Amino acid sequence: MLKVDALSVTYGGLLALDRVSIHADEGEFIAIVGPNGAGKSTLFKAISGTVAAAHGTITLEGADLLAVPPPLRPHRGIAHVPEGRQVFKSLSVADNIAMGAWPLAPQPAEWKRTLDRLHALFPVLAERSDQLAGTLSGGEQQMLAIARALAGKPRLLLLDEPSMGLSPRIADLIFEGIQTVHKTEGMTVVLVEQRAVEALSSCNRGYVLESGRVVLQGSQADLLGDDRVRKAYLGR
Amino acid sequence: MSDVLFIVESALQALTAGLALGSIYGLMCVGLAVIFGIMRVINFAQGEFLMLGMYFAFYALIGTALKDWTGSALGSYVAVIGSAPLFYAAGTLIHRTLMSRVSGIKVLATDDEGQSAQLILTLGLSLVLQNGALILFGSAPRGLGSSLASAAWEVGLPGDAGSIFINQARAIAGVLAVVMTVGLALFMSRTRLGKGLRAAADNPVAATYMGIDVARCHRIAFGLGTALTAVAGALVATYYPLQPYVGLEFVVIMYAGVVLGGMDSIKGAFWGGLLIGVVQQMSALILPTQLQTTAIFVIFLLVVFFMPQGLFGRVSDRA
Repeated sequence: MLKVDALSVTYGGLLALDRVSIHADEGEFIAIVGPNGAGKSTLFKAISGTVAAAHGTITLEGADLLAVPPPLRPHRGIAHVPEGRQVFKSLSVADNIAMGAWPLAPQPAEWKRTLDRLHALFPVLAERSDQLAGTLSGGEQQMLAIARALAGKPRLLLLDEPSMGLSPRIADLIFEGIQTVHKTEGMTVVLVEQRAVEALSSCNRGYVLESGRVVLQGSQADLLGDDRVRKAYLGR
Repeated sequence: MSDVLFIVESALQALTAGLALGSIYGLMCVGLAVIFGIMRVINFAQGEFLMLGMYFAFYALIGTALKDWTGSALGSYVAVIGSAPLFYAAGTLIHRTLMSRVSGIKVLATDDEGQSAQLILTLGLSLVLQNGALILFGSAPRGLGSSLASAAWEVGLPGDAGSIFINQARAIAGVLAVVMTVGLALFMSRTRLGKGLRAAADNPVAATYMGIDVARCHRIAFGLGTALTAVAGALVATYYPLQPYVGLEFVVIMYAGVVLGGMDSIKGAFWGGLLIGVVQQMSALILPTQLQTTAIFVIFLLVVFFMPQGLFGRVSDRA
């Protein structure tokens, strides 16, 4: 499905990603954990095209993704929930969700079904439909950012730090929502998280990224059982 | 007639004149606000787009057989409508060839978000257009010679309060300006593309993640802003003489109106322009004509002092 091969990204001479290779098979749930500044968000930005790749390749379903202009990448089935949520604050909740379906331009009947499905997942968004997104709480904005991404019926969902700045209770709610979506819709999910326990316990496979390099990879059991992971990220 | 009735009559006269003029100012401000609101670019060539809209109306009417078919009154409105698609196309062309080099997502990461380059480019464009117009069109003031410019409707007031006169060219221009503004507001709030433009303005990076082509949105915004300003110019030309520097007379009103309304509100820009028109006309009741602009800036300073975010600006967001 997604294959990132020996990808390097530089920011003004600094190496943010150093020959990173990851892959995600159809329907897999991949977790990428690592400390702040490890390059996790940069990896997603390279996939979405908002930072340029210096070396390496990214392919989606066998096609060269780097050759696709950034605004056309979502049209290939990629949805990116960016770090810090990045909702459209001056647009209503309903319009925010509608923007997520930009590539599909759905018909009203189809759109109503999609909206019902998303409202069932995060009922608070139905209540706040006409409210400006900027007036939502952090947790609600995160739900909105995820709902907005799902509105485009992506085949690959990139989630960047969905728990950032949220209380543990709300973060649990978000993780639950993500797992439900992965189960019911079966799309490929790549989750970047600092909260390694939650991330690794929901994934099939995972990668540990440190200082722009993949330092460890393996199945959920491998990573949860690894001494270094337990010490550095799980705190036990 | 008593003094009180005379004052009421004069005030109503000034108010109606102010509303008509203010609506036209409002449309100019909306043209500027569309460009600033979506692209975050302050367009210093705005007055020249207005001036070119006026000259377009003049040459479309006088330089072609239009006037013979329709007469000067109807013909000038045909020219107004014709200016919209032409200047939309011109605006998108200017964006494609010039503006796109100094604006858009790629400049967000630079130190001043591209503002110096934008200032130099639009100011340069303004000078080129001004002096180009001087070479091409000459410095002599021209006029459309629309019969409506010197015609007025007389509206009787109840009782013996007298009557007020409404200049036909200004009133029609004002109504058309309101229609254009309402049309734009509906486009921005109801249509898919309008919402996409607002999303691109709100958060260009997130918009890219949605699959919205931000560069295209900016091109559309620049085209719309250019067209609205030129249409406002063509409307002004139905009652006001034109010369190559005429844009300078209106550009201050545009900036003041947009700041009054709150920098990124299209609706606010219209109300800002309307307020300026009304203040300008009403102040003539008590101030000498030379001080009309002073009255505008007194109101401007008061609003900026007490409501620094403008009349319609967003006060704050939750993080």
